[in-house]
Amino acid sequence: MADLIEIEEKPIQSKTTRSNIFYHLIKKKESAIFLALLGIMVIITLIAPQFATIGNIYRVTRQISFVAIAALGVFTVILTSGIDLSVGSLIGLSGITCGVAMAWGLGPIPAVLIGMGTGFGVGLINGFLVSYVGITPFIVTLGMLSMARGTIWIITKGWPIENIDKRILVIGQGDFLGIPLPVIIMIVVSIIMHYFLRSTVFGRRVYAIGGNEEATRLSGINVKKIKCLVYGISGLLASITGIILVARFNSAQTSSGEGWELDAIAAAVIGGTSLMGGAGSVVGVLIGAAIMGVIRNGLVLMRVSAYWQTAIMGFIIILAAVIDRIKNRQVS
Amino acid sequence: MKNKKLFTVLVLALAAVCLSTPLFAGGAQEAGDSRPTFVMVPKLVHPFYEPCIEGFKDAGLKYGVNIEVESPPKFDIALQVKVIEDLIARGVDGIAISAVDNKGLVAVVNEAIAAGITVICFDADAPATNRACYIGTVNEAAGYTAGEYMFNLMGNKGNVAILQGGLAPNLNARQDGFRAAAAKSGVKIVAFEDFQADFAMGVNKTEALLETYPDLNAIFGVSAYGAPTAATVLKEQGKSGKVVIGGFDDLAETITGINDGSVQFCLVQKAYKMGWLSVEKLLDLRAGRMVPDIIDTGIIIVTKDNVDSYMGQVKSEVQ
Repeated sequence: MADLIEIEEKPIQSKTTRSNIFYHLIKKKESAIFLALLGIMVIITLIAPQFATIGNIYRVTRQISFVAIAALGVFTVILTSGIDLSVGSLIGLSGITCGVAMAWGLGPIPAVLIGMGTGFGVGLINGFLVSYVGITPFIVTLGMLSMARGTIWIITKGWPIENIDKRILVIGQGDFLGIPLPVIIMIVVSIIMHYFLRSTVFGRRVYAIGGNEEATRLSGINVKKIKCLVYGISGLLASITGIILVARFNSAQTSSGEGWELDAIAAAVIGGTSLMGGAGSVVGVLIGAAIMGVIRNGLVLMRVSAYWQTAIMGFIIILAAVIDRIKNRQVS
Repeated sequence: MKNKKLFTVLVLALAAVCLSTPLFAGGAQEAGDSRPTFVMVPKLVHPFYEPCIEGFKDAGLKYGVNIEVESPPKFDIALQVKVIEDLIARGVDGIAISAVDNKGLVAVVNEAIAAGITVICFDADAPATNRACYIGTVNEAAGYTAGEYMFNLMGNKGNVAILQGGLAPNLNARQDGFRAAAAKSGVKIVAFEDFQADFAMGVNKTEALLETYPDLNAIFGVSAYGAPTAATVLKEQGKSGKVVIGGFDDLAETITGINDGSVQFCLVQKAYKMGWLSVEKLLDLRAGRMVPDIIDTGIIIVTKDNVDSYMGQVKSEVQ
């Protein structure tokens, strides 16, 4: 079953450092999927050498960061064996509220806070309905998917918001030491989430709930509060993606994030997250998002017909899940 | 006990929402009104329909017709059929539909006609139904015009990539027209990419296209986001103006691009004219006058020269 008390895998009595590292790599749950990512990158580079240029890597990592940040939020919800279908709409809605705030002449910092507040607040509403009212996460967040997207239409009537404060653009378009800022934000968010989930009491309880909710509750832990907050985190991370997209494209698009919930969930699952809850890692989610982003880019570079790309994408998601399944069966 | 109370509160809240729904519905018809009622049924709520609705309302005002708009909440044939069924039940006089689907509307359109309602299509045709006529862009012809204009700008040589948002039939028809024009010129279509009407994906695809084809001379956007997504990337890479960018529809970003020189032209459907003519043709049909089967409203090419005046140009064509 899921690792209720997950202990960092320790290399057991290995003689040399080299075999030590090797053992560590193979034992890691993410290793199969990481090797798959490397394999995919090698194949793409062999067919289309432009893939490995600095310019392309720069842009692909930036593309990946958008989905990856939101995926880390959904991942946290999935750890509690929940699901969040509203992230795509929350990406859009928080981008719009951030854009509206800027159109009103509020500076970039209040606007970003308003955007993040929107995501966090709506996420908490999801969480409240799931944990305190006791409605299935699927239905709550499906309803919220429509409500949030519908709110965008009410606010904008379908028109994009274009009066964006130029000072915010750096978040989506700037870079630091040659690394795009969205990628740096992704890395920072990942480190925080990794630390939060692995090393804090709250984070360990998130895993515990997914492992066995009833047992966790009986051991005196406030399960409802944790579940409620987890949806808030998901909304918050979705809003960060939404705000970055506004800064990236210089406008708040009404269709922003449409359908992205599926990409986010797929990134988590490809990265080895169990939909039953309790198992998965931040690193895995990042690799999952990277696989999808790399393939999307590679299909164009390899000049694959547009009619084939969507089907191939789906095939590779299933293939990745199969590889992961076989690998983890062997380990256990 | 506590749950029971909560339940009661929720039921009351639900009832309140249901009862207040009519408050949100605008433009209800006044009783005893002898004027005909024409209803526009778009595919979904979308900015594209705003000039259509404006033209529809303006013509309604001029000819003394009650005008209403009933949009299905999203692009879904079942929802559009339901909207039309509701209109049949209400007994309106004329319906102008932007068809979500051709075959899927046959039964309900025939039912409406049997109930004495005049039905026409605008923007998107459903020729399989018995609708009286279609008013809108003939997409293949529009794509051909677009191609001719773009290839002329390119000096009839070089490489072009096509960006299309979704594989819908109307977009495919435009693409066919564009390809037909390319076949007659010296321009080569090197790539065709579908970005599924997602702005972020359009940018990603453009970045990959420029990486794959360093000798690309032009990018054509078959649907609304095509041109602005391409322009976003070119501006960022400092190649603005070096690659010809053109495409359908006048999104605000596209117009911004035309003004700053990153987009060379866009093609605008005469949406206002579609709405206006819908009222005129519905009136003609109800008066028993003959109406052509297909009325091509044509497109207008927008460049830096007419970017400020084209809207007025379209309006003055019909008013």
